[in-house]
This record gives sequence, C-alpha cells and structure tokens, in this order.
Amino acid sequence: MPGKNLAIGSLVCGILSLVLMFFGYGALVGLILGIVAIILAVNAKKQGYTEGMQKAGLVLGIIGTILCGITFVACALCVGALGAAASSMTY
Amino acid sequence: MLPFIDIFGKTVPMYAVMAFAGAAALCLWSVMLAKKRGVISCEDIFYMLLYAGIGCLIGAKALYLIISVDVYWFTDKSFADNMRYWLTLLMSGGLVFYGGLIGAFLGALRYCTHFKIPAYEAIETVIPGVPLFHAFGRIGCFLAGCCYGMEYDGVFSVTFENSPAAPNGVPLLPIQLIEAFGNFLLFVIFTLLFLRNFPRLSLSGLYLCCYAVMRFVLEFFRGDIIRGKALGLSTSQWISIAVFAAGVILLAVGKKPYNCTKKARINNKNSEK
Repeated sequence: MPGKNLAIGSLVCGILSLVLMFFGYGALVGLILGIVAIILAVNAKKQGYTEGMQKAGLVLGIIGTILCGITFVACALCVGALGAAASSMTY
Repeated sequence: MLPFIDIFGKTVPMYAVMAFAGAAALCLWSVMLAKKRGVISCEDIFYMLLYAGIGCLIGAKALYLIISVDVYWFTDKSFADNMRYWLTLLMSGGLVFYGGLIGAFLGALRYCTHFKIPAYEAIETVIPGVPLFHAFGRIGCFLAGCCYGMEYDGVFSVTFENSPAAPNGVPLLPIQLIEAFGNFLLFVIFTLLFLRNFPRLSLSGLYLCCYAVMRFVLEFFRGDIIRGKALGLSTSQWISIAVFAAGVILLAVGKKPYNCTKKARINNKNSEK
C-alpha cells in the first residue's frame, strides 16, 4: 500500500523523539526526529495512507517536537545572561 | 515575573510555554478561518502550518546564531572551541522573531509547492493569526523578563525582581506588553479584513508593512542594547526596513485576494463533491 512505509517510519521517529526527550542534549536529536515524523506522516497521508499508524506517527511527532522543543526554546535576550557566563567560561 | 514553572518536577521556561500556546492558537484560528471561507481544506492549512512551524523554529534559531557572531565569537579561542560554545548557545536558548517569520514563510511555501496547493491563498488565510501568535510570544518575553524596555519611572512601569535577563530592581517600560497589545490589535483588524474581504489588498503585504512600522518605532524604546547597532539603528530596525520594502512590493504587485464570495464558495463545495 503506498505510504505505508512512510507511516511506519513516522511512527518509529515519533516514539524515539518522545523517548529522547528525557536524555538532556538528546532532546535536540528528539526534536529533529519529531520534525522528521511529522514530515513522513504528512507525506504518507498525501500518498493516500490514512490508517491509524499514520495518525499515531503524526500525533507522536507533534507531541515529541513540542516537548523536546520546549526544553531549548528561549528568547533572544535571555542570552544576555549567557554572555556573562561565556566570558567566564573555561574551555 | 515568572521565568520558569515546575511541571512534574521539571523546570520549564515560560517563554517556551507561551510560544507553543501561541502556535496552538494560530493553528486553531487559521483552521477556523479556512473552514469559514471553504476554499482551502482545513487539513491542508493544518499541515502547512506544521511545515511553517518547523521552518519557524529553524529560521528563528539560525538568525539568532547568525546575529550572535559579532557578540559571541571569541577571536582568542580556536574554531573548535567557538563551535563548542555555539552548540551550548544552540541548546540553551535564543530565538529571533524575524528569522522565524522568514523560516515559517519558506516552510509554508515548501508545503504548497510540493503538494501543489495555491500558496498565495493559503498564506493569506494564515496571516490574521500570525499577530496572535506573536502576542503570546511577547507575553512570554514579559514573563521571562527579556526584550525589556528602557528605564522609565512613571505610570505602568515594571520592576523585575528575579529575572535572568532584565536588570533586576530597576523600573522599566513594559515594552513587551505594549507590543503584545499592538499585536492583538493587528490580529483583530486583520481578522475583520479577512472576513469582510475589504479592502481588496494583499493581507500579507499589509501585515508586513504594519508590523515593520510598529517594530521600527518600538525599537527606540527598547533597553536591551546588547543585540548590536549599525549607523544608529538596531539590527531589528534594519530588518524592519527590508520587511517594509517587501510588504510594499507585495501590496503593489501581489494578486488581489481570490474571489471568496458566496457564489465562489458554493462552486468550490460543488467541485469537492
């Protein structure tokens, strides 16, 4: 069935993005996988595959993207505080 | 004010919570508008917004990293050390609205061209919700204390107590709330313009012009000078000039909104059947 493989990929990426949320810097990888899950689910739908797997992949992808994204989204000027930290940073 | 909240023992930045709440509001509103017009399916609008959201996240972060070059590139450190520090910046915060706007536009365009959706109509449907999303973001800024205003000790002045970004204990102009109010106003005006389809202007062009003017003026009242200046104007003011020019071009050469009369909607519904 066209789009089924994309839906499976979407589901796997969605699950992984949710799991990686709990691993510190892994949230960045989780965010990328969440985005991939969304894109795969949309493509699966456009190819005509509308079974539960596609919907689950899409929902998990959205939730994964939001939860992983929330950990590293801040405003531009919050970095003002980081600047002070950077000047005292030792490499 | 309230930079972080604890959810199930995990500290979550309020800015991020407000940004995602704004994104949800934008999605809901755009889907409702799409349903009302009945020209583009709600599903296509939702998927396009997902693509736009992805583009927004990437664009906002990318522009933030780009404008950080002159402030946070240490000439006395090696390239590898600088890159390592940038990874910290990438993970620890920083989003620039204009970068997000450009990224979102490219993301939406990518969806429309890939799946052959009329891009102009789809973007016009989403435009009224964009200031709503931005207003949520500005309230998030206020809660975090970033993007703060100049020193001001008068009516409605705000003094931050435990902000990680704003100078604590100094009375400031609540510029974030002023911009949020301006965005809410734009949201109401553009929704009315969209629903009445009057005047027959390109909403995206008009929005770019309105926001660029508002932002250009408000920048004079900002107190966070760390973002860099050139020829007496801040980075955002230079971008505002470019955005205004883009808006004028869209207004001048952009197509008039598609026919959303009752007859057109009936024709569209018939063709869907």
